[in-house]
Amino acid sequence: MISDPLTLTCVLFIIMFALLLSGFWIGFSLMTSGVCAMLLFDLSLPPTISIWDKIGGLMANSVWNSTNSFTLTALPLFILMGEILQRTAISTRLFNGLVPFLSNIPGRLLHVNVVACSLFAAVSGSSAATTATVGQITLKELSERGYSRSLALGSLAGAGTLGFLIPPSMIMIIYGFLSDTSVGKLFIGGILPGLTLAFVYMFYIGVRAILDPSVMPVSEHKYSLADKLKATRDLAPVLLLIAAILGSIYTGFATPTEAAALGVTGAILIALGYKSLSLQNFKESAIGAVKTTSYIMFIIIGASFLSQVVSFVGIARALSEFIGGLNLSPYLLMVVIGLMYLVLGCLLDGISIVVMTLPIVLPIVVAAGFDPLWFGIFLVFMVELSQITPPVGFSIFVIQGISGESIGKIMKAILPFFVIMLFMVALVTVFPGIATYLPEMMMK
Amino acid sequence: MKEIILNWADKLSEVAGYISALFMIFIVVLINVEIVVRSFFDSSTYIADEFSSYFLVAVVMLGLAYALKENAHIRVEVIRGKLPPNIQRVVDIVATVAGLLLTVFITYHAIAMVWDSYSLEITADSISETPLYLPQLMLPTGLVLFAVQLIATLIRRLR
Repeated sequence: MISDPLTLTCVLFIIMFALLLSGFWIGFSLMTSGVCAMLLFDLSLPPTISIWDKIGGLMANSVWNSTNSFTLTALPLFILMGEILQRTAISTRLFNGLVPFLSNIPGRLLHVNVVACSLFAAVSGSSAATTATVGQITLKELSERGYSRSLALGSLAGAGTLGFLIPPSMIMIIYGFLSDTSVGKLFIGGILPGLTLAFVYMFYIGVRAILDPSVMPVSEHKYSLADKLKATRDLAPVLLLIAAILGSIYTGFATPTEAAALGVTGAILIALGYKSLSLQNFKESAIGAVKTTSYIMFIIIGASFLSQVVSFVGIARALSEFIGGLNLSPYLLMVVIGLMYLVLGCLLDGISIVVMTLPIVLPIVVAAGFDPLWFGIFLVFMVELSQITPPVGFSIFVIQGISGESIGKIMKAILPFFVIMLFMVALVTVFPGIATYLPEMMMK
Repeated sequence: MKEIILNWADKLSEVAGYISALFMIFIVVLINVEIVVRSFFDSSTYIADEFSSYFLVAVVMLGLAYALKENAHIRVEVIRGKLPPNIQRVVDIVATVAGLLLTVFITYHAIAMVWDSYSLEITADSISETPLYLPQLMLPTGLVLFAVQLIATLIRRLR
C-alpha cells in the first residue's frame, strides 16, 4: 500500500509504460493502470463499499460519460468527412490545381506538399490521413519531374503533421474533451500557428532552391492566366468546404460538432459533383469511419477512467503542489515538459501521449499560470513532433509505405523540418498570442 | 466446432459494425436537420445535441467489436514486435485474457449502472426527459459483443 501520491505517480508511470510496451491494447493498458493505482493507494473507503465496486462504478461511468458526449460526436463526423473526400481523387485534384500557381515562386513545385497538406489539413483531422492522401500523388509526380527527393520527403513529413494543427483536428477534440476547453476556440487557435509553420516551411524551401538550383529541374512550362482559371475549378470545392467549416465555427453559427455534420454534407455534395460517390464506396467510407472512431474512443474511455482515478486519489493536486514548491520559472517548466514529450513521442503515438499525460500535466501547467487553450496548441505541436521521431513515428511509417525509401533516408530528409518545428514551438511559447489572438477575437 | 464459433463471432461483429455505421449516419442527418430548422425556421429540434450524443454511444459500443475483428485497436509494437515469436505468442495470449477479464468486469458494472438508472427512474436533464437506461443499454450490449470477439481472438491466438 502506498500513501504518498508522488511515489504512487512514479509507480503508476512504470506500470503504464510496462503495459503499453508489452503490446497490450492502449485502452486496456490505461484502464489497468487506473485499477492498479486504486488498489495500491491507501484509500480510506467506508467499510460498506468494496474497492472493486468503487472501481467498477468509476469504470462504467467513464464508459458512459466519454461516449455520451456531444463534443466527441465531432470525431466520427470529421473522420467520415475525410473518408468520403479521400475517395474523390482529391489528391490528384489538389496537385493539378496547385501546379499553375506554384510555378512562379522560387522552389516551384517543391512547395506543393506544404500547400496541399495545409489545404487538406483544413478538411481532415488527422496527420496520418493528410500525409497519406497528399503523398500518394506528390512524391511520384515530384520525382518524375526531377525535383529533389530529399526535399520532397522532408516537406511531406513536416507539412503532413499540419493535419493536427490546422483545424479540424482530432487531437484538439480529444484535448478539448479531456481538459474541458472549448474545441471551437482550440480550432481557431490552431489557424495562425499552422499557417505560420507552413509559411516558414515554404521560406526554407525557397531559400534552399535559391542557394542550390539543382534541387529542381531546369525550366518548366509557363502557365497562363487561363490555366490558372482552369485550375481553380479543381481547388474551389475544397476551398468552399474549408470556408464553410471554419467560418461557421468562427462566427459562432455552429459548434464544431455541427460544423462537422455540415462538412459531411459538403463532402457528399463534392463527391456527387465529381461523380465519384457510389453506394459501395459510401458504405466503405462509413464502415472505415466506424473502425477509426471505435479505436480512438476506446483509448479515450481508458484515459477518462485513468483521469478519474488520478483526481480521486489526489495525484493531480499533490503533483502540482510538488512542482509549485520547486519554484521553477514557467519557461523552464515548459522546457522540462517539452523534453518529456519528445522522449515519450519517440516511443508512443500522439493520441496515447496526450491521453496518458494530460490528467497529470494539465493541473501543473495551469497552476504555473499557463492558459489551457494555449497549452492545447503546445501539446498539438508535441504530438506533431512525435509523428516524425523514430522509432515510432506514424508519419515516417506512412511515408515509408508510399515511397519505399529506407527509414534512415527519410529521417535525414525530415531533420531540417523537425528543427523548424522546434523553432515554432519556441516561438509560440515566447509569443503565446500567435495561438490565443484569434480565439479571443471570436464572438461569444 | 471452433470454426463455427469463430464464424459466428465475426458475423456478429460485422453486423454490429454496420449498425454502428447506420447510427453515425443518423447523427449526420439529425444535426443537419437541426441546422436547417434553426437557420430557416428560427426554431430547434430541441433534441439534436442530446440524441446525437446517445447515437455516439451506439456508434462506439457497437463498433468496438468490429474494430477488434479488423485489428484496428492500436498497440505499441516497438518492443513487442522485436520479441521472438513464441514469447510474442504468450504475451498476446496473456493480453487477450486480461482484456477479456476487464471487459467482463466492466460489463457486470455497466449492467449494475443500467439497473440503477432503470429502478431509480433516472431521466435525462433535458426537454425530452429520456429515461437514461434506454441509451445506457448500449453499454452492456456493446461490451458483450466485445467480449465475444475477444474470445474469438483468444481462440485464434491459442492455435
